[in-house]
Amino acid sequence: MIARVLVHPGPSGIVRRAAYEKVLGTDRVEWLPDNPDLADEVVVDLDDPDALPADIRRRVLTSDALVVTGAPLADSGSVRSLAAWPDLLAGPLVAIRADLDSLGKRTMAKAVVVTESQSLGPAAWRAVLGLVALGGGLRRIAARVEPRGPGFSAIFGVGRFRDDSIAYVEAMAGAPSGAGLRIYEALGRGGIREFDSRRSINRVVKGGVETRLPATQDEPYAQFVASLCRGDGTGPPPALAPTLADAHAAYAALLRACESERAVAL
Amino acid sequence: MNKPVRMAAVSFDHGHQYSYLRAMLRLPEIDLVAISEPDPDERAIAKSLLAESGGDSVRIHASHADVFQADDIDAVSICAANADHYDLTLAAAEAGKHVLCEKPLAVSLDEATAMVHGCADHGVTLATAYPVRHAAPVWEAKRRLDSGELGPIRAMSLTNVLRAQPSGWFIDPARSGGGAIRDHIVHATDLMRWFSGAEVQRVFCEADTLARDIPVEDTGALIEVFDSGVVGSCDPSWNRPRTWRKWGDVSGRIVCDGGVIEFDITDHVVRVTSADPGIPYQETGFSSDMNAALLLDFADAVATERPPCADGHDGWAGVACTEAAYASARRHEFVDVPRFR
Repeated sequence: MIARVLVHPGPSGIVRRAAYEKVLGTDRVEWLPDNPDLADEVVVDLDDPDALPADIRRRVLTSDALVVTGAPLADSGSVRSLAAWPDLLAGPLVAIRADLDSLGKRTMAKAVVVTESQSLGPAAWRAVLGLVALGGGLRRIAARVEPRGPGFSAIFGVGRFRDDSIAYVEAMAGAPSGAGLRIYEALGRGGIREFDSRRSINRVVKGGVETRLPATQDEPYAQFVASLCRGDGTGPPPALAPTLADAHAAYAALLRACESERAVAL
Repeated sequence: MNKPVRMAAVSFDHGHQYSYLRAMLRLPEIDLVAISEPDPDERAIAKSLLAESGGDSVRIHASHADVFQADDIDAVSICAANADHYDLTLAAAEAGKHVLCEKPLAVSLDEATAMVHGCADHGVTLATAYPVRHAAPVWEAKRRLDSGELGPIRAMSLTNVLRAQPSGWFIDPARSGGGAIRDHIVHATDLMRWFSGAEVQRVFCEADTLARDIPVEDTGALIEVFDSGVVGSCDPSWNRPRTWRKWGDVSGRIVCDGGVIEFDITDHVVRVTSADPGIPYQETGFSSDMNAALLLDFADAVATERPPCADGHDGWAGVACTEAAYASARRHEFVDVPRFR
């Protein structure tokens, strides 16, 4: 039972709030206030906990609420938390995943997420989720992160999937305005499946800023919220559980690999 | 205009020589004097191309030595199999010929080092054939990066991929020195070095033979850490399906503080779709000729005694990165890239 949803405004705050309102109605959804009531029937949805003021962050992460984030929490403590996975429910990943068997022996998969948002974690999680959705669990990965200067950060990972095909993942945050993109590639001896968000001409350009027109009637985040409400509040649908487990392991390994001279084994 | 540089095309093992041949015949800055090709079939193809292109007066030799010994040749374009670059470049240098050597410069760092020193010792220019620098979108990207309008570079992602179709000596490790890693990371690495003015300090590489059953690797990915702190990446794979929408690419995203430059040298195309289901979709490129620009730069460098756009050290740096990439792929760890000494 979700009594109330508190959405932290942020890079995708409007989309996330609209998704909850579509599923739960407008009465139970509001922006995260400065002094929130965080009971166990409350969902707090925030892209990046680090974007919160320190005192609110501490209260959220020690509360009884369910915290939905854009990336797995490094220090979730006892809080119930859930890294969102809307891309597994609608959009290009779903279309490519449905066709993976036709690729035959796999050679490579790539996932690239570049965002204008300042938070690298959600971009990296989204990229890793895409990578694992296309190639399966990882066997090993090496990575480097580039945290130079304010605002911009990037992470590059190269490794192997369990089937020995090659994995490439890239995420960037704080990219210049208009530079956001998503790229997915799945390659095998039987063909290739590609998605590049830059290739779409469904867009509005106003005042030098580009806004993409939606590709799906049902926004992926709304499907994610619907899935959340249907379930017990934490677990994914059984069909997606293995992919999410692999993605969590891959994400943790990617972060560890940034500090390692050797590829990190999973 | 300076007197045309008298050139010879040495070996047609690499198909790029045919593009260079056409450019040499066309450019007034170059006087194509001779070609040499030991293989009779390949020589016949080259002869036919010469006849079609107004090159009837060009001498045709079966032996490369004949070209090196000729007094009326100033410079050579060497497009032999990778493993032969070393011997041919040193033979040309000893004969006093300036050298434009196809990439990769060599199949080992020792050989690349000897080639750079050998050409310097004999007072001849050694240029590495990195034509991609001369592709119009890449050249413009470099100009705008150098102008500073976008601020410092923060990250670079490049691809140089190909359909899974290389054959012949390309997939013979004894003659090629390796597959996709040997063949392709030099282009992407060279562009990242050129754009950033930084050197590759460390690399991590995964590489394997996955797309076909061939004796060399055809799929790979790299992380390249530059001495400026910038991180880049490269996909050099020969693993796109033979039915892919294009033959390959050299594409990149250069993320700067104040903007992003994205390019793909194969992206300037006319798309051709026939109502006839028997005629496949085609893309016809119309971009400027980067090979001609490469040859023009080389000829001008020789004529004016200036360094070429990409010299032997640039070729050496590509070999150094390649060797480190192979070591990384074997050891599953980041490997230091040596510096030229």
